[in-house]
Amino acid sequence: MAITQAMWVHGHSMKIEFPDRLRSVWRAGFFVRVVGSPGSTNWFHFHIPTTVIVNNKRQMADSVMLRFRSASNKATVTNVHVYDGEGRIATHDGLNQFPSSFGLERFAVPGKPDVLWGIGISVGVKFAGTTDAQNTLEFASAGCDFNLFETVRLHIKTLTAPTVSINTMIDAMRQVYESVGIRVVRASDETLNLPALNVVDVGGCFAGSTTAEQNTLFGNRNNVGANDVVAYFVQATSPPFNGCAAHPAGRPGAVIASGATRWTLGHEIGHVLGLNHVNNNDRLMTGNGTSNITNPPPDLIASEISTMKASGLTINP
Amino acid sequence: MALTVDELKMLLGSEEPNYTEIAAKAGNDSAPAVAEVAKDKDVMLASKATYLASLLPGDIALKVVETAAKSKNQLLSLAAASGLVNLPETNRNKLAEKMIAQDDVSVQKLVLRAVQGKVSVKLKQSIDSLSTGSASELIRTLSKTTLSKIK
Repeated sequence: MAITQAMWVHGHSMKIEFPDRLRSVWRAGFFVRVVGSPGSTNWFHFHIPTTVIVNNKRQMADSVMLRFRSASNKATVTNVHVYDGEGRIATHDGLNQFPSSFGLERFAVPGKPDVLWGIGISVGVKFAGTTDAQNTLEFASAGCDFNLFETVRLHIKTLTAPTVSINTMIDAMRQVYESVGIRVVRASDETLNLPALNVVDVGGCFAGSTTAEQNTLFGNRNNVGANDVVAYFVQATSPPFNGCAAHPAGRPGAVIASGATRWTLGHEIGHVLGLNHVNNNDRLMTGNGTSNITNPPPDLIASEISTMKASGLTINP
Repeated sequence: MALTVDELKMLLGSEEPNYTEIAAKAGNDSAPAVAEVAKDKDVMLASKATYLASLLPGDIALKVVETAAKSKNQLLSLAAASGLVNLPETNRNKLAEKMIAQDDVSVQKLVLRAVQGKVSVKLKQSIDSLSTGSASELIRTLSKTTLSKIK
């Protein structure tokens, strides 16, 4: 997947949030060198020049990069937060990075959101050493890759929250879909109070064949565009399935049961986009159950990717 | 030939098992293995095994559905309620008599849809009571429909 834009700033433009917690700052042609006070933490900020629209296409944030090095394992990067304007679009906490040479550390932006206002990268650091030599960090540059992805717009409508959280299921779906150039936009969330449909009759769950209850449930498409996909989270289906992608014509979506696995959502939406079962437990569309996936994350093969991208429900950027 | 527990787990592990096909493969001989899977700690798998049992003949399979019907795990009792419709009429209505008392709209909905033919006085009274006393409009309506088709 080609990167459509890559924007960088030099390290010596770095802004320091708490200058009083540093023993020294040296801005040179090659990098900015900071020496932290022993036992201190700090935040460093990089503003990335951001061309939000290129050739009439709004760009999507793919990932950010840092080039830095540490004098010891006592001077570490602990957090990388990515902002688009005032909104945080990526959070990488609990890091413990102290590369001894300038490499390229990449941090993904989940969901590959449209970029609206300009990218900022905020870097949390910790200085745990006792000497200046130990507490030295040098930043050479920071950047952001932008891309254009085919997009599935997914609306979440919840009758019963599943055991594996919806966030986990969407993260898992994105892990598989984004790896093949399809981003999943969580377009909206709505809670539906429909106790009569909380256990929904899905019949045999055959494509193109739906029950009266499925027709009623899938009629709930508030704020949903014609080519958007809806996932209805219910307590259970009757008979019991992890999920069912059979949907009425013109109302694309799937039902996901509360006992579904982390991969069920991606699997069922795969059906909605035109994929069939396969007999291979390394793949998302395994007909043997996503609970039996042997080598996560599961794969999509080239022909499946083509089918998904050819679906009218996958929107070209 | 009877399916093993592992074979059943693989077949029922599918997101959308084809119960008719699995039941045809399993037959009565697989009922003990189905009973075993119905006790699995993976509740989704257990609920699928419970439904499968409703499609199998014999006392062992029936016992699986009856046990699930009494389960405190809601997914298992729902699976039993889903499977009611597959049971022979006598067994179905006997189990329905117990399940209709569960204060759960989803269970009651599935039970009411399954009940037909000759029912006990007690079951008829329960349905009659729901037709006017249930807080759920769906259950009141379904109860009235069910009353019109039972003897």
